[in-house]
Amino acid sequence: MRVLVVEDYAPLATSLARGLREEGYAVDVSGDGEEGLWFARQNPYDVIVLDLMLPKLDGRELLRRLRAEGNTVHVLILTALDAVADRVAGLDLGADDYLVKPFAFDELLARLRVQVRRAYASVDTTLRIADLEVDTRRRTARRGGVVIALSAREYALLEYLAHRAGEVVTRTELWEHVYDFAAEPGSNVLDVYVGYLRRKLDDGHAIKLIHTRRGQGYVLGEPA
Amino acid sequence: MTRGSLQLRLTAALVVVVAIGLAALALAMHDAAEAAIRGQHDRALLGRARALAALVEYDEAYEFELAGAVAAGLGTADIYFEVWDPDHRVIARSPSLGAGDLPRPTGAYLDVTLPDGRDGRLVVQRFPAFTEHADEPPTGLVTLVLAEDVVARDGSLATVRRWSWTLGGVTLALVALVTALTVRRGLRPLARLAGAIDAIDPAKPGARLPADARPAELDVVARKLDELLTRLDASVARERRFTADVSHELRTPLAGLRTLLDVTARRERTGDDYRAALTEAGGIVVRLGALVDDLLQLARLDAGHVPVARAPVALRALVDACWAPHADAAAARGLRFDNRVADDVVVDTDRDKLRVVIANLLGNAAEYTEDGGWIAADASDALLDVTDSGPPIPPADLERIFERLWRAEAARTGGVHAGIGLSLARTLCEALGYALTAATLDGGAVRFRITARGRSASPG
Repeated sequence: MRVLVVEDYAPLATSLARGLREEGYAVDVSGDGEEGLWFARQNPYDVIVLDLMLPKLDGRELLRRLRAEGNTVHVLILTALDAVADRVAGLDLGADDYLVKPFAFDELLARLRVQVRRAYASVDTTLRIADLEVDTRRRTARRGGVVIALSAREYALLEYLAHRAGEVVTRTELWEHVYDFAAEPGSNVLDVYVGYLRRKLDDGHAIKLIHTRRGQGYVLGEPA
Repeated sequence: MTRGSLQLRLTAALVVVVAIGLAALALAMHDAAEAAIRGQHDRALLGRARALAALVEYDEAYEFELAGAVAAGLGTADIYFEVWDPDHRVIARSPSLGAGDLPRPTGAYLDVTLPDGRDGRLVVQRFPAFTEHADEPPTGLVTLVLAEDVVARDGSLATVRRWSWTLGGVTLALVALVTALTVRRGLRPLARLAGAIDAIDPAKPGARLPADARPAELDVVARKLDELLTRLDASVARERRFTADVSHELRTPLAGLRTLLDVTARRERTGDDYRAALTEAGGIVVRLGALVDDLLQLARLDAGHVPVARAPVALRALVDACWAPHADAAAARGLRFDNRVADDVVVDTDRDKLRVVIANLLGNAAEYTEDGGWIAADASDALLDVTDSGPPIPPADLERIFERLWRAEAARTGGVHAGIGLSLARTLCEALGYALTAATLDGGAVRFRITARGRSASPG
């Protein structure tokens, strides 16, 4: 899942990015409103974590412009403005959630999971494909009841594929949702990770779940 | 402290005035009626005395025709009379008098006690006796005294007195009642105003007193109250905004601190990682502490609890000391600092307060001056000028940057926000008797100038 953090207080932005990356999110960080808006226009983020009082372009204005352009990306406002009027105004501008600073990092993670579930229209925190279970809360995967040890990056790949189980996911989409600007470049990085994931998921199982559609992308699911 | 009831005082004053007037009127009417009744009675008495006098006749000797008196109804038991000749010999006396005498006063009338013990009125007539046949009329005067009881007269007087007081009393009671009702009615808008004031919710701004049907006197008070409410609203709004800003100012670093600690504690890390996190957390805590100190100092200045202790201070050294904490960060951003204050400049001031002022001005310059710019301190034109190479501050914002936690419209000016430092610096300057002003110079440089009050800052 790819997250954009727009926050001008550098210590907070840095810690957020680090924590989210460690949880397997692809994270881009912007320190002002104008850059944040540009980022949001360029990339299909799953969630934007948005501060309100921002240099150059106010967070509310950023959100208003995004919505005016028809961008439906899920936005979680993260601000020190705690008055009811501020919350109402933020939500009415089209924000999906509102979290007041200071906050517990665990709560932010839970709320991000809510936004991701909503983005892919699932209410269950556990995604099930055949005998594969992806627990988005614990960020773990099991196949046939056996826990599969995954790196954060592998899990991120799997979760995105699981959210779109049965659909063809293009390599571009995977790239955009699982990697951030800070990720190492390289055309075959994705294939390498999918290879790792396939080995961990399908080795020793009669039914393969990860399928390559040549020239299109990947599908997670039982073979058709 | 309340001083009695307005209603009670107005009513009492009106009733007392009316009572005095009524009493005076009642007394005057009573006196007039009494005088009329007494006069009438006396004239009736005199008429009867004259009728009796007509019965005295001199014909060689004085005679009195008692039968005539009896015939005229003047010989009854209720009437007492006695007649003397000029030589004070009794000519006649009424049968009711028996052998007694009536007094012979020198005046015309006298209040007496009748022989039967009742109160009476007495009239004296001195006249020459009627003579028809005598050749030689007597020269002296006959004295006739007539006395009568005054029961009927006193009855009339008592009736008049009773009616006077009764009417006066009833009128007074009515006046008191009507006055009390009128005053209460007249003061009812006051009670309504009090009710309206009571109904104002201090938590909800924008409340005003109802403008319906207020008498002119109250309208003045109500309008003044409305003006007060407007001022209070503005002041409360300012306080609220300030509180919200303070909370924002504290929450943002707190959020950074908490997230840093949360994220760091989520997994096992290397010693270097922990050290880096703790160093960063320490930096945040130091800045939070400084902010709290500034807020506290402002609050104390507001409360007027800060004494000023003046002593000679070497300005150049103070400026250098204030720059030291910012030097590294400024150098990293390519900022040049030039302390042009001469070595021999000595200011008689409160060192601690001036240090906070200069530290805030230099800190502000170090934070907002564009990368690669310059900052200069100079004492040649004013007590102290702190000038930086910009970006320029829009003229409209030059005063507002001294407002507490003021933020420029983020979209317009690139999110400059003043925090608390400049406001504290100005408040401290005021406590020291200085003025702190900001100006954008030609070429976009920004100059903060401290002047001793009374001396105006020279332009340019």
